[in-house]
Amino acid sequence: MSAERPNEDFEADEILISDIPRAAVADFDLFYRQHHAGVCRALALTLNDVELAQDAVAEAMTRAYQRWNAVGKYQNPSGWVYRVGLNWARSRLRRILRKPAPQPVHTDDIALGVVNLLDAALAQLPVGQRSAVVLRYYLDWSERQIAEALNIAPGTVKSRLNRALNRLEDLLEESYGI
Amino acid sequence: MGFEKEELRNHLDRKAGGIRLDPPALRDIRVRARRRQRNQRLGASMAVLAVLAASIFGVRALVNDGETPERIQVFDDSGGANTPPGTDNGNDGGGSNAPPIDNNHTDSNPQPAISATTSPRNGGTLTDTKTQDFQPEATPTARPTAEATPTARPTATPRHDDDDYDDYDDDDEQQQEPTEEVAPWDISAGSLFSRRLAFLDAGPLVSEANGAVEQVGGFGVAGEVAEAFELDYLAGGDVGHGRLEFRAFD
Repeated sequence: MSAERPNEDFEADEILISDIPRAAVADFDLFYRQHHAGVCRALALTLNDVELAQDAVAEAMTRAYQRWNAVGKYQNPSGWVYRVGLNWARSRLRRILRKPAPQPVHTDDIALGVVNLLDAALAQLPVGQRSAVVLRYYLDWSERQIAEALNIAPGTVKSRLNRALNRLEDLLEESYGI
Repeated sequence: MGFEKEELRNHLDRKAGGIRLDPPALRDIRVRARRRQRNQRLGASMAVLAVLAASIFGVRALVNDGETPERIQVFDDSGGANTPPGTDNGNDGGGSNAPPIDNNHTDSNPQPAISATTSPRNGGTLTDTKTQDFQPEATPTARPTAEATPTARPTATPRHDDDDYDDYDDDDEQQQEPTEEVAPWDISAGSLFSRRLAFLDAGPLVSEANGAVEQVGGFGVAGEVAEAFELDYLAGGDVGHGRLEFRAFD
């Protein structure tokens, strides 16, 4: 009986999703295949936590699928997915009282090259600035796309990027003597 | 010198390339979404039912909440004149607090008179000639028996331990007490708060020069009588913070 259980669940799930319109499924399938990995990696870079990023993207993709009639019409649906995933991850971090605290960098590690200096500096940035940096320099999104994705003004994106780059430079020059 | 943006871009690419992903199957996303939709619809239906149930039973519970556990049963020992409405002659229905009272019954062991004193900030104390421990939990269930129900004027006079009330005149009290029944104060439309305050209307409240308030009158307290308890407690609030109202008493 236990061997039949997965099949029963599978059939129940098939019934559950049988009434979804085919056109909507095909549209979302294409979006999922094209953008899942990029958004997930961007979130992993932002959060410094791959597992959390995968959970967040799965959650955001689920919500996108539920609202695909609306989300699918956005200019940049992956931006919506990124923002939903980021918000979900941050609220989850708050719930479990776990912050993506920057890892302490020891000078011995730096000397040995164990810790990448840029990684350590990026970890020192606030999440808002880090997300702007990741979207701009990893996903190559324009400032306007970033503004839409993060639901902020384009001017805010510019200022966040400027502050982030200045902070990175300061951290590399002053803290680590480069 | 700092770093180049290209260096940052290459670094992020390298780091992202090293991330191994285990994406869920697309079918899992679909199933998850559909389950959630179904649960949300179910939850919405349950919420509607809960609101309907609350609107029906909640009002009833609110009415019944008049039976507060802290309530103190107060009645006029001259014949139940100040009992809450709906409690005439033992009819205790309708959520009233008063015990059954036989107006024609005379008792040789009446409840003694009480006096209440309060100061605005520290709360008042209600002192009775009987000295029993006040147990709020026991009060609601304590119903006076027919023998204990006072219907005659108590012979015991209030004892005042507080020096601030040395001028309290027992003879004056006897003279001030009404000889005829006072119409019960209608608190049927009142809130729970006013129901609690019904105690205060058992007798006129006399303001003292030092700001204290004294309750004058020979009224009994049904059930367990406290040795001393705060007016704050009776009123359900802080006397010193304006939650206690005084009303003109005819």
